[in-house]
Amino acid sequence: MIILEHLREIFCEVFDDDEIELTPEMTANDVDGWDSLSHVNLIVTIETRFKIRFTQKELLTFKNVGDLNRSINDKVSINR
Amino acid sequence: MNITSLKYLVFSLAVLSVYAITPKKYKWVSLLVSSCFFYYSFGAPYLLFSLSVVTIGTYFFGLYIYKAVKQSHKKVFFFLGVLGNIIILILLKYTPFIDENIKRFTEAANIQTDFQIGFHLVAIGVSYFVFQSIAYLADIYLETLKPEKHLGYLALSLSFFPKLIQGPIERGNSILPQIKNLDNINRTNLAIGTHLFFWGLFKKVVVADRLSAFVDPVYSDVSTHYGLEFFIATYLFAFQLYFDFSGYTDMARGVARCFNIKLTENFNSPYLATSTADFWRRWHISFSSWILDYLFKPIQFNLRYWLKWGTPIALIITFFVSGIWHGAAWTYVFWGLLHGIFLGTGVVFKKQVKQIYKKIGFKKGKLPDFLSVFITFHLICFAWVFFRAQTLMDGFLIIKSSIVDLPKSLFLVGDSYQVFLKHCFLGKPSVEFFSVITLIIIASFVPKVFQKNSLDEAPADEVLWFRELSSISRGVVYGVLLYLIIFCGASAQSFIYMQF
Repeated sequence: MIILEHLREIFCEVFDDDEIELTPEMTANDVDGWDSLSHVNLIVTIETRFKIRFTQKELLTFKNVGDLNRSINDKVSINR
Repeated sequence: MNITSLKYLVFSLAVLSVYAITPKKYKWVSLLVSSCFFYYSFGAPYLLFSLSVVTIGTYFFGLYIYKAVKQSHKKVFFFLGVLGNIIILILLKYTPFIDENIKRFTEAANIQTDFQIGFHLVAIGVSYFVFQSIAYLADIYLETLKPEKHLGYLALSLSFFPKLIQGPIERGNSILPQIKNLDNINRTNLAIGTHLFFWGLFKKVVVADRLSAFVDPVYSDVSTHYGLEFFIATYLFAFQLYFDFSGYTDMARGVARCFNIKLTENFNSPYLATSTADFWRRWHISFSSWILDYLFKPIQFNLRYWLKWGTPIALIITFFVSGIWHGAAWTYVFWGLLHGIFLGTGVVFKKQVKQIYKKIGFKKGKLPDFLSVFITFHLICFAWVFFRAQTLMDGFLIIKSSIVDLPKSLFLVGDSYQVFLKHCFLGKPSVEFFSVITLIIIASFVPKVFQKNSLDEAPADEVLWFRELSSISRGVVYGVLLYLIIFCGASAQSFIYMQF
C-alpha cells in the first residue's frame, strides 16, 4: 500500500497532475500525456526513488500499472 | 506475377476453389502449397529457398528460446535467431549497395582493390518475412507468445501469399490463431474481401498509376523543371504513394479475407496527422509499430540515463534503420534521418514549444488542428522529396529550386500567366489534371461520406460502406469501379513498396 502511494506521488509529479488515482488496470491510454518520452521519465524517476533497476525485458513487457507495481514490490522486498 | 494482373485474379480464384473443396484439416496445406507456387512464379527459386531457411531457422530458434531454462541461454538463442535473419536480409537485399559504396570509398581513398561481394539478387518480399520472423522470436523471448509447434502453420503464417511480397508485417499473436483455425469460406467474408480487393485495385490502377504519369516526368528529369512544378509534383507524389500502398494493402486484405483471415490495416488517414509522431501512428502501421516495439523502445530504455538526449538519439537511430529498410540507397537513408530529426527535435524542444503556444494564446498549449495538419503534411512532403528523388543531389536541387524559383514560377517575376498554368498542370491538359484531382477526392472521401457506422470498429479506410449500400447502388458502384479499372486504369505498374 505504501509503495502504491509512493508510486502515485511519482505519477502526479511526472505527469504534472495531482488528481491521478492509480488502478492496477490503468494503461498509458488512461493518463493524459503518458507518451514514450514521459514513460522514460517515469521509469527513471521510479528507479531512482526506489533505488531499483528494471531489466530490459521487464520494461518491454509491462502492460499496466499493476505489472509495474508488482515488479517494484518484488525488487524492493529483495533489497530489504 | 503482378498483383494487378488478370493472372493474379485467376490464380486467387483457383486457390479459393481448391481451398473450398479441401477438407478443413488440410486447408493449411492447400494455402501453403499455393503460397510457395506464387513465390516461385517470380522466377527466382532462391527466394523460395531463403524463405524455407528463414522458416525452419525461426521455427527451431523459437523452440530453443522457449525451452531454455537460463535467461542467458534464452538471450543467446534469441540473438542467434535474429542474426541469422538479418544475415539473409543483407545477403539478398544489400549487396549491390555495399559493393557500390566499397567502390566509391576505394576510388575516393585511392585504394587499389577489386574486392566486390559480387552476387546481386532480387529480394522481393524478403524484408517483410524477415521482419515478421524477428517479431516472432522477440515475442517468444519476451514471453508474450508461445512458439508454434506445427512447422506447417508457422510456414504458412510467414508465406501466406496475399501478404508475402508487401506485408502487412503480421504478429504471431494475430495471424497464428487464425491459421490454426482455418474454416470454410463464408459469404460475409467473401463479400467484404471482394469489396476490399476491387476498391484497392481502383486506388492502385486508376488513382495511383494516373498520378505517376504526372510525377514521373518531373522527378526523372529535375533539371528541366523548377519552382511551383516541384511543389505540385511532390503533393501529387504524396497521394500517389498513399493510394499505391493503401491500394495494395486493401487488395491483400481483401484476398486474405476471402480465406477468413483478417490482416492488419496499414493506414488510417495519414495525411490528417497533427504531428509527425501522429503520422507514424497512421502510416504503414504494421511497420511503424514493429520499429516502435522492437527497435525504438529497446534503444530508448538502454539510453534512459542519457537525460533528455536518450529519446532523440533512439529516434534518429530507429529512423535511420527505417530508411535503410525501405531501400538500399542514400536517398532512403536521408529520408529516414529526416523523420528521426523531426521527431527528435519535437522531443528536445517540447517544453519550449508548449510555452510559446501558451504565450501566443493557443488553448492547452496546442496549435489548432487545421494548422497542425497543414504543417505536418508539409514536413512529410519535404521528406517525400528525398524518398522519391533519384539521387540525393536531385533531392537538394528540388528543395533549392522550390524555394528560390517559386516567385518566378508564380508569374510574379518573369514568367507569363500561360507558363504559370502550364506549371500548375505539370505540362498536361487541364482536363487531365482536374480528373486526377477529382479521383483523389473520390478515393479519399467516398468511404467517409457513405460509411455511417462501422460493424467491427474498423478504421476509416475499411470498405464496409459498400455493404451499407442497397443492392442496386452497390451494383452501380461496382459497375463504375470496373469501368474505371478496365478503361481508365493506367497500364499497371509495379507497386512502389514491392521493391522494399
